[in-house]
Amino acid sequence: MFVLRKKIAILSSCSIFSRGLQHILDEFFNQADTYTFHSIEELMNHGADNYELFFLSTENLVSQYEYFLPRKNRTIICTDAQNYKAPFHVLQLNCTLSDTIDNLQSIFSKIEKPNKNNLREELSTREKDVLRLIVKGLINKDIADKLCISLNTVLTHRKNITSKLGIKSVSGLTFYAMMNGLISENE
Amino acid sequence: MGFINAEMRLCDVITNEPSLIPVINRFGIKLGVGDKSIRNICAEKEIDSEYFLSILNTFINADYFPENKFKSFDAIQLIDFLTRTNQSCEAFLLPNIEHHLNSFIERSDPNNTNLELLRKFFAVFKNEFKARIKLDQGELFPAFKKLFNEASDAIITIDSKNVDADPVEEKLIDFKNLMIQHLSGEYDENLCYAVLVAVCNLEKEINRHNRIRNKILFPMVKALSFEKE
Repeated sequence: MFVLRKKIAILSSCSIFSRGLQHILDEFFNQADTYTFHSIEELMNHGADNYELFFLSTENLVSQYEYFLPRKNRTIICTDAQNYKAPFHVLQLNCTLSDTIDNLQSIFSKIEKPNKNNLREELSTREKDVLRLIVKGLINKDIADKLCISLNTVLTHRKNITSKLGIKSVSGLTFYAMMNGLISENE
Repeated sequence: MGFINAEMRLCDVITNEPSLIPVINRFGIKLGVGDKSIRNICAEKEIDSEYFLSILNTFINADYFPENKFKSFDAIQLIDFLTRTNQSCEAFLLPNIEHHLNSFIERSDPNNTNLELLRKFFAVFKNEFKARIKLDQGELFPAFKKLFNEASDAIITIDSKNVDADPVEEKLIDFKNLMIQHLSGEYDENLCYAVLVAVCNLEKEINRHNRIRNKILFPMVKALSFEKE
């Protein structure tokens, strides 16, 4: 499953269309955070700048061209027209579900450039230091004192450790540390 | 699958969502359901069909949780369901993981020390989970039942610190992620898959159980205790 972590606005006066697209995004692009808007006014009142991706019809594009042009890499025009030419991403509507999913995936992979830092989520040396102290049972303040860093930095390291390892509990982290030789079983 | 309604045939629901079989069993419904609708089966078994459907729909849809509807159901009925879930986890789901985990470790590379560590972490989870079941079954649920039967004026205080992030559920997810993300060395892939499927089944049960226990039953008990205070 393609994981898309984006806040998405679907703008269409047709609720069957927007709900259908929302359903496809939810089902096939897990973690997409999708909202539907009936009119451009509704989207603007809700704070359009809060959204990272926009799906809209050609009519909406015409009425708000100046707003969307600077955001062309984040705007996807949904249309039935074949060979629609515009400086935006284009989603063809008159195709099968499988083709729609493939087309969406192709658009998203252009938008989500692979981040080299995400390719290998290894713990940094500092994060390993923090992890060793967590599994020794030290509280955040003691970890900060011991490593001469601020409490906020400890919290950031903890958040990153959990995000990289997918492990939250202290006992889970302890077993991870043992499995990876960061501490011995006797510690 | 979509939303389940009373006119659907239970056999179709089970065919689409076999993970509901243990849930349905907890209502005293066994396989061999024929082609009857849910409404007819509930009528035969004297089960409140609204309640039955709410349980089934919340079980299969992670995003569906009608809190107000649940709060309108009989608390004793909810406690009985949670009791049966606890019993099922302790008698079947937990031993099932253990059985697969033991086979997995025995049939994998004996030099892979990580597998023994996994077994130890699972034991930590198991002890904590069994302690919670014991607390529910031995203390909390009997006290709640007395309270709802108006046989007690006791004020029950519930430790709410674990209501949002349950440490038991968290540990099981950690165990699953340790296997998925951090397993290394040689091991039996088929049995590894069997362990993970069993873990995912238990995780789903605990998650659904916790929502009813922590977000419906506990607030009902708090509200009633407050009234009696």
